Formats: sequence, structure tokens, C-alpha cells
Amino acid sequence: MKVWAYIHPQLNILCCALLPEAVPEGVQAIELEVSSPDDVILDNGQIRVKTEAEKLAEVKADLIKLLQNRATAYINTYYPDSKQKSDISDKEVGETYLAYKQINTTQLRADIAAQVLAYYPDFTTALNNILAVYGSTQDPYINHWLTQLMKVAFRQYFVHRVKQQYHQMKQKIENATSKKDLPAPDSLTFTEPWPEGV
Amino acid sequence: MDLLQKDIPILAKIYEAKCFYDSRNNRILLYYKNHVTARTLVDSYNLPTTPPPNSSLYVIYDLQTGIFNVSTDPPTYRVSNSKVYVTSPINAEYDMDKVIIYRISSYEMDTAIDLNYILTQLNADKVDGFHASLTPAPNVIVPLNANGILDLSATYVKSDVYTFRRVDLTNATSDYELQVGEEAYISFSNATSVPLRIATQSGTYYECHLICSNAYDESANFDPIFLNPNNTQYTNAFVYATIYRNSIDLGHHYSTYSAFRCGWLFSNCTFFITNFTQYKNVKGVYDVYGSSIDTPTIVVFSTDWKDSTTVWTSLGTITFPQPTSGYILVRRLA
Repeated sequence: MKVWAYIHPQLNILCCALLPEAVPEGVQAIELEVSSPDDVILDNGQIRVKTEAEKLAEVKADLIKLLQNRATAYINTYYPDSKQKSDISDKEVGETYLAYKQINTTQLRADIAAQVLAYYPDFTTALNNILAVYGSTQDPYINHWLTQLMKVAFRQYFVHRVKQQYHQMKQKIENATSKKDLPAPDSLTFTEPWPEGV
Repeated sequence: MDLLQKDIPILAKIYEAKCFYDSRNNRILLYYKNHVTARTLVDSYNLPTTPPPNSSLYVIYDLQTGIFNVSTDPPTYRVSNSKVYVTSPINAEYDMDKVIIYRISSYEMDTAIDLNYILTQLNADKVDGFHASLTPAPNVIVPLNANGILDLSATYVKSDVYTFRRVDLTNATSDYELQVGEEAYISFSNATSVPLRIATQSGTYYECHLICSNAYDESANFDPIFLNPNNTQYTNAFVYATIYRNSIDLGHHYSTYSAFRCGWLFSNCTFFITNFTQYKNVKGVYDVYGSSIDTPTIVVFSTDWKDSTTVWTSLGTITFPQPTSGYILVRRLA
């Protein structure tokens, strides 16, 4: 399409007229052939058309922003911000109680991490293995807090896996050398399932 | 016979219709008479018997059917809610403006008529086969009021400065100034840029419907649809606020653009345009199709032109992110 680009005499900004008669009287305009008026920029006082590299960089930035929004929306669908904050508090309270009950929380953290890595997304098996080592038949609060800590670990691992997927897609966008190499916007979706029982 | 199929001036009043008894032919004559011209015979009725001398005759004339009822006994009737209910000598119900009830005094036989003997009022009102009335109804002509306004009452439509008209501005080559109430129609096919060709000025307000008709296409470009005021893009002079819901997200954002954003991908948009030089805004709602994630998406938006001095004189050009077909309706509301 043709556009007529000029610096607006009063506003002192770049304007692109879409019709020749839209150029204000007495204003000098440059006629340009572009695919969109957005392709015209003012660069150090000079009106010019964006280079292909500049256009590609803009599309990449838009896609990465879209990807960020979708990642955040996806995580929030299953694990809202309020729940994430509540989990941080629960984890502290739970570990404090278990330490008070003479449980080695450093070792417990390592064991929970090992169970998550080994069994995610199978929460039930991972929890039973922890309860078999640290559970108590005398104090139900110990079992309660062990369960809560395992749930927090599974939820946080879900976030970690979504982030991994995000980084893979972001890498694909950043590595593209032309528009045709870019992923379609509709393909920028997340599929990581929310683990059952947490 | 229908009185109103006769050559009667529009909206002749009841007091301009007169009945006479023609004793030579033993019949009732119904005349129209205005204050200027002579009487005009409208209808007549041959009496089956000669009425008794020195008595009054009572005429009930149905303006719609042209049927006479003549008797020597005064009719019994009452008027309620613009209706006349006759109970004697016949049982009948009429619209008040569709019946003449008239007494012909004995001394009026074949003589001049005293206007005071009109018993009901009506309009002898038909023109080109249609009745006229102040009450709107099918096939009824409603007159302009004293101010020359077609006032169809508060329950219908009142027009004083509202223009009921649609103009086709498809392929227009210069700007057209819509009147208040007037609607522009612009169709387009496989276009990326559609000039509306509508002149505007400070103080105006418009309702706009932008309807895209493209088939569902998942490869559509992820870019906005813009209204470029004055057919011009002003770099980063517009701020856009939105709340949206698509298949994966209930989101919102606040962005800067170089024109009024009013759609996305393929959209059906309804928006309102405010044009005061000191405050210029487009706000509305649109749906989105053309992407699996965004089909459908509902978007509520408002976009301001951050400028209080530039005069908006041409409503502008709609630009699309890909070849788009459909039509646009723009109605000026103020």
C-alpha cells in the first residue's frame, strides 16, 4: 500500500497519511510503498521504512510477549497467585513443626525432591514413600504436614515444567532467522497436565 | 359507497358534512361543504317510505361502508375512548372518526342547515384510499403537528431533527457529512484499507458497526484493526485499554498505538466514536475469530487519542491486518 509520511508541523511526530489528500496543506510528505503504515519509522530525524531485520525483531518481541502472557495465564488457571503465597507460608510452618518433632528437615527436603523427580505426576506413590519413612502413628499432625509439604513440592514442580516449556518455545522464537521460521501464534500453548490429588 | 372515495378535501371536518332531506325524491342527501366552495354531493339514500311531516330525521352514516341508517327516533349512543357505541335504533360500534350521526330538523328539509345540529365530530379524512388520524395505525395517515413535525407520540417515534436515511458510501471519492440519524453503508471486499469518506467535526458522536465476513482462517495475522482518524496514522498518539476473554485467558492490557484500535484479526465490532477536539475516543466491544485460541474472544475496549488540539475532520480509514471482506455501518447520533 502507498502511504505519505511527514512530520506533523504542530505535534512534531511522524504521521502517515493513507490518502494523498490527508496530508495537511503546505506540508512536505514522502510517498512510500509499504505493507503496513507501521513499517514507517522516524530514525534520527529521517523518515524511512523499517528493515526486514527490524520487522522480524518486532514480530519476535510480540510473540515472546504473547508467550509470557499465555504462560502466566496457564499457571494461574491451576495454581493461582494466592495459593502460591499460601503454600510458601504452609511450607515454613510445616517444616518448623517437623523440626520441633526432631525430624531432619534438610534430609526431608532432599527425600521429597527425589520422590517428585522419580514419580511426578504420580502424587499418591510419592507421598506413601515419604510417609513410610517419616510418618507417625502417634502424631497425626506429622502426617498432615508431610502431606502438605509433598503437595507444595508437586505444585511447584508443575510450575517448573511449564517454565521449561516456555523457555523451549521462547528459544525457538529467538532462533528464527525469518518470519516463516517463527512458530504460529496458535501453536504457543501449554500442555503440561496438573498432577492429580494435589 | 364510501364517502371518502369521493372528491373530499383532506381532513374535512364533520361540521363540513351536511345531511338534507330531498322531499321530491324522498331521499337523504349527504353533502360536503367547506367555507369557500359550494356543496358537493357525497352520497345519497332512497328512503323506503315517506317520513311523517314536520318531524326530525336521524341519520347514522358509516363512513367506511357507506351504509345509511335513517329513523325518526333519536338514536341512543355514548362516546368512550374514541369509540361511538350506538344502541338504538341499531346496535353498532364505530371509531369516532368513522361515523356521522346527524339530525335533520323538520324545518331543515330542503333548506339551509344549522351547524349546531351536528351530533358527533369526525374527520372526513380519506386520501388516495387511506384514512388520516392523529392515532397511528396501519394504513393511516398521521398529519404533521403544528410545528411541522411528524410526531408519532412518545410510544412510537418522534422526529424533529433526526434523519431517517441510509446512504451508500461504497466507492465514494469525497467525504460526505452525515446528518444526525443518517446512516452510512460501506461494503468492501479483500481490502486492507477502507476509507469511510465521512466528514466529521467537533461535537459529533457516532455508532459504528464493522462486520467482517471472511471464512474462519487459523493463519490470520495477529494484528489489530485500526480506525485511522483523518485518514492518518499518528505515531504512538493513542492509548488502548481492554479486558478480554479467550479460550485460555481472562486478561487485560493497556497499550500504545498509532491509531484507534477497534478490532483484532477478523472481528465483528460495535463501537462509539466521540469527537470533541479536546477529547477524542473510540470505545466498544468486538469479537475475534481467525485463531483457534482466540475463536471466539470477546473484547471490551476504550481507546483515547492523546491529543486535545488536532481537529478531527474526516472520520478516517479502517485498516485491516489482512485482506478482509464485509461491510461497515456508521450512524451519526449527535
